[in-house]
Amino acid sequence: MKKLIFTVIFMFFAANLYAGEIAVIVNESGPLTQISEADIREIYLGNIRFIKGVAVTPLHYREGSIKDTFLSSIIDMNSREYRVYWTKKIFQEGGSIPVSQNSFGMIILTVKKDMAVIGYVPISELKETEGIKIIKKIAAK
Amino acid sequence: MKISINRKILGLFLTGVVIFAIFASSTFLVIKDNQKAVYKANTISKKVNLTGDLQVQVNRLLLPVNYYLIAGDIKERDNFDSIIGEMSKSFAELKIFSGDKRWQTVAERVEKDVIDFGEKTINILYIDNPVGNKKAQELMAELTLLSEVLVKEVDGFHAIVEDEVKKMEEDVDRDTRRSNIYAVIILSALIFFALLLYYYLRISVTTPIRRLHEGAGIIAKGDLAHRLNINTGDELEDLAGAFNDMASSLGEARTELDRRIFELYTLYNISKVLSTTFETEELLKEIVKKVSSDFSIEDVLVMLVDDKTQELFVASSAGCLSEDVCEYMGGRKYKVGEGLYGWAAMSGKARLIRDVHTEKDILPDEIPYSDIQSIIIVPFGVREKILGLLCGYKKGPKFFERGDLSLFMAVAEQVALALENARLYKETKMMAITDGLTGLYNHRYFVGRLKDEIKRAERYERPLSLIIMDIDYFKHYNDTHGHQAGDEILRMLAELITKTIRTSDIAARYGGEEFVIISSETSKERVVQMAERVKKAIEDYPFPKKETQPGGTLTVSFGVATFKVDATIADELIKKADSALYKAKESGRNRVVAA
Repeated sequence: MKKLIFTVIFMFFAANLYAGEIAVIVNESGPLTQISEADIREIYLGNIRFIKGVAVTPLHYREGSIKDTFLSSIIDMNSREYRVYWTKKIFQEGGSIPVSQNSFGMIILTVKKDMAVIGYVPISELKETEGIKIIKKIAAK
Repeated sequence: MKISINRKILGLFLTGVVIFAIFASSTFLVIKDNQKAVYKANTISKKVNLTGDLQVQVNRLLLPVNYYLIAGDIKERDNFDSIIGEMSKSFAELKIFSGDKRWQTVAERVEKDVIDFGEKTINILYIDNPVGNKKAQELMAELTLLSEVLVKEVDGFHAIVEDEVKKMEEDVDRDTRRSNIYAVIILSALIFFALLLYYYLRISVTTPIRRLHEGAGIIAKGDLAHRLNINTGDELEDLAGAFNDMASSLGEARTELDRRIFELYTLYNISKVLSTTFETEELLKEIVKKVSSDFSIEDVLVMLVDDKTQELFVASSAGCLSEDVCEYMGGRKYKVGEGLYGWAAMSGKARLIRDVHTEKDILPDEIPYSDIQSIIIVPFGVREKILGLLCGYKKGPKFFERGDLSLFMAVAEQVALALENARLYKETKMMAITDGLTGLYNHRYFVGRLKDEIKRAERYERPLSLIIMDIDYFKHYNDTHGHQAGDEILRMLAELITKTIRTSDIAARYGGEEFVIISSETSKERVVQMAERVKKAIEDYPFPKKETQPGGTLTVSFGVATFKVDATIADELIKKADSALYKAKESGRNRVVAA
């Protein structure tokens, strides 16, 4: 029963891309103040691992509309293509597929705790910015 | 080559260290081999584990798709991420073990197919409305087949690992066998070297020490002729040498001591013998006998110096032991100062002849017989005066040694002392029984002798007579010419009496101008005749100034008595003779009256 409800909800999300503005966030005390879309793209493709001497680990929101929006806006891939890309990459070059979190709260919490983490949340979800900073705002395309 | 014990021990120690080092390093090699094998085994087990993991993960990767097809939950895409991530980790680790071409090939194929498998899985995960979708189920069946192919491909790793295991087992077997052979060789070599070292130690240290100990024990027990023979070329050889030196020194000392004891014993023996008699003949006999037995030589003789003729002569048969020598030397005389014996007697120097053939100055007639080669001649004497020679002869050369010479000299000294003592004894004895003025026996001796003679005459029933004589008017002569002239008369008369009587008769001075004669084996008739003969001789003798005496000449009156006829004891006999003398005086003097 529970599964069915979830499935219905997810199906709804999958069908509709998120349309709001997305904030790219890092830890408040991190060295970054802003970042280009190209850099974000490289980070999420696993090609950039360090910025200004600090490791950057990309973090995803779970499978769904905001992730799809983020991927299509920044990397110009859909979720499937992105997965195929990473499957090849980890077998051929090594590395790890970026981790996904199930809630925005968890993303914010992780960013607050870890200097090396970079994540994204809908700006509407950011009620306060204590311990974090927004280094990029992405408008949905 | 000289190697000290210190160096030997150091050498042994270093050899031991080297052997130990070889042993330790070879053990280390074996351990290293084992370590390699263990490492290899670890690697292999890791490979097996990883391959197994990979196969499990391939199957697990089917789970999210299956769930997706059942429930259509897109969350399964994220689950796919974590499983494929784990797979990539396992695969990356497997790839690390590359190097082998076969492994590489399998890895490349697996990589390609895994990516293909992943992509196909993703494709299914992105099918919209998957639940009950026919096309999706077809794809799923295809995917399942692919997974089986993949599992089989991953088995390719297994096959390689199996080969590796087999090879490793062979390697380990070979290594083990090799290690065993090494161990046996090393152990044998160790035992061999240990035995070698033990043998060397035994040869060069232990055995010599034992022999040294035994040898020292033998020497200590008194076998001073024993010698240690140790040729180790080290301190032990030096020690053995020192022992040998010590033994020979002790041996020499003991020989010398034996010799001294022998000398002392010989001297003691000889002096003991010499003190038993004062008779020269007997002395000489004992001396030659003693020297002969103590020195083990048959031919010994004593020569004496004749003071009057200054000639050396063999004292008597008593001064010579063996017949050969006595016969030859007995009659010979050697002038002092000439020849072998003469020179020794003159110089007082002893002579040791080790071989007569090498001495140039020896005349053939000085050697008793031709076999004699060793001669020892030692002069003896007292107060710078040479009394004679002690001579020893021996057949064969080099019989006498220096030591014999000194002992001979010591003996000769004893001989000289003994001869001198004998002479002094004789002299003293004579002084006790003779009258100093006339040299005739004194009154005391006469009385004792008369008693002895009477006893003998009584025992054998032989005749014995006694004459007492007194110078007529001797007081007158003394008064006229003095006592010195009177003493001269007494001396002359004593000499005349001695010459006139028989040697068997004993003349003595009885008193002032009285003389007595004991005449054994003589009857009264014969003794009267004898007295008459003496009276006649006195009458005829040209005494100085005898014409001044009353009657114009020096006369003597005689009284005689005969044993058994006139008396049976000495006192009586003297009394009878004395009274006969009185009668002779009474009846006109210068006559013989018998009792």
